[in-house]
Amino acid sequence: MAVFNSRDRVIECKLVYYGPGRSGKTTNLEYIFKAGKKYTNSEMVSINTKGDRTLFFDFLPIGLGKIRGCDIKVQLYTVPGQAKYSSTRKLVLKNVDGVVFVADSLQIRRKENFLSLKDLQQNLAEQNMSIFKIPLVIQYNKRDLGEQGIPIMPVEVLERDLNSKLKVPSFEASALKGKGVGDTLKKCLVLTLHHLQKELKWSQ
Amino acid sequence: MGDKAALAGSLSFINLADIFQILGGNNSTGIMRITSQYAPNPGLIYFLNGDPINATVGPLSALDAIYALFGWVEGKFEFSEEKVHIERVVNKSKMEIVLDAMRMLDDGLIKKVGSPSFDEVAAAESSGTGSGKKGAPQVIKGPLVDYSDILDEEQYSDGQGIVREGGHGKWIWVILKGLVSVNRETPNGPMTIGRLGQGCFLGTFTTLSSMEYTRSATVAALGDVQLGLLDTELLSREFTSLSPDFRRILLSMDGRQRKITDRAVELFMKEDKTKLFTKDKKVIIKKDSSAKEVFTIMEGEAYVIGQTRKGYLPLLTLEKDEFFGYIPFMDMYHEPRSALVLASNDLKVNKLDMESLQKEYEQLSGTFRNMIYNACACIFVTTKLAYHLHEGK
Repeated sequence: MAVFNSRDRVIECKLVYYGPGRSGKTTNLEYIFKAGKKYTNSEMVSINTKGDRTLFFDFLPIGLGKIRGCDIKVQLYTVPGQAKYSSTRKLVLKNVDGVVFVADSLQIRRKENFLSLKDLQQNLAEQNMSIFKIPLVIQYNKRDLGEQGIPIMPVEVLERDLNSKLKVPSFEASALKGKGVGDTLKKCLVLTLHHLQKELKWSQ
Repeated sequence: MGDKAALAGSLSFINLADIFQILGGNNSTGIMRITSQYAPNPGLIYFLNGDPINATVGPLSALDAIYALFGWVEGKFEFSEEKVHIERVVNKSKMEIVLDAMRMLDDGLIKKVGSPSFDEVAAAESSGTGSGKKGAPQVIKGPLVDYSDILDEEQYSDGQGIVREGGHGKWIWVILKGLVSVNRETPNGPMTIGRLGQGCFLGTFTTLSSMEYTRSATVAALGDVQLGLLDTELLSREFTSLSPDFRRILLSMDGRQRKITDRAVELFMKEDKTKLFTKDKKVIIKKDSSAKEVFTIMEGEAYVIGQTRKGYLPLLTLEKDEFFGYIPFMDMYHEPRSALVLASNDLKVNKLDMESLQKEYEQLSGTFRNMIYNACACIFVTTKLAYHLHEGK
């Protein structure tokens, strides 16, 4: 549910990066923050939630266009996956407009990916939101590790595990190298905006 | 600060994180004042152009005060627009403060200020971090004392008896300072049921009615104790002004306390007078049921059964005019969350109107609400004692 800031004629929408611990959510955001430095005035807020940092910053992406003459400001968050950080998670997921699910390609993380996705579904349900209706993009991160000989799952397996019912856009990525990060974000933004336009019944 | 509040409400409806977003989005300048029945001093947060710049609560100030206020889960807030002249000592962004506060809440670094949830008490106990050593009777503390109904203060010294089991006195006191022990006489000697601390009451709703009443336990001072004598005439008038259903509920709470204490004594004496009688009885409320109804008994009996690590434990038998079911402002560690209810074959009930009960509860004086809280806490703790005895601890 995007917030309309009447003072600045800006629509603020919220994108959350979700996924199991250490899957690369933070890496994604740090890359976007550095690359998009010229689009943002804000600092990146980093909270030391143990195991999985909570990050936040907002930016005005150029080239997204306006909705009814209003600029669109995007707030990006990562959220810690551990059960105990429920207050943080509730606050961050509240009224979320779009989600990027960052999955870990490592073979040993297969179960964690699945559990985290189920967890996302449940957390959204607690807010009367459906994982099937929300703008969602899946990223299969750490693809580069395969080249180093570390066992990673083929994309087909990941797709079957995580995307067979959702059928949302998915991207391969190596966030450490910056590969796939921009494409993932762009797709999620586009999906979110379309959703917003439909919700607000406003057209370009 | 005589201006009418620009924004006011209850923290249980809208929390501090949301309020920060509202005031931030609105670029507000002014002072927010927060009060809670569970805290002695109010909290103040100063806003300049939507950013919090300073705060105080009790001895704390600046960021420490702001973080502490995030722990206030119940209370009222009032924001008034006015010029703010206080020094800016907080420079963190709103978002950082809010996210950091959430993390601190999750990490258990911020004290929750509100009515204690019995689940927290139960969890603390089972993890061994509860008050007192294992097996020692738990200390119950009440909410903040409402001084408006106290007529006199009385002092008692260590060991001095305050009331005697079987006595006919009708005074009601609230504990202002110190601890008392609550004991039952048994053929095996005195048995301590529990210990009561500041904010707890001695005396129950039955004393406010015209019903026959004898003290159900002996209470003695542990160390020096200061008691506040309550204006029972005023409280009796309030009691009489309540609806018959509400009065019946309060009286049957006293009944529950008596019965669960009797049960604990039986277990202490290793007598088990109730046979397990689940045959031929219907389950009418399952444990963990989310049903939100409450009933009074017109005919027949209902049986509240708990479940300890050693199996089912019949807790008490309810009779005509007593209630069972879910009441939102009363959590006693019985049904529906923590116990199940069986019915006799001839049970006939009357369903109560929860909404009007809730409305009546909201109109009650502070003292009365505290008494209800206290009664629930005592029933809760006595039930846990029965559980411990059943489990052989």
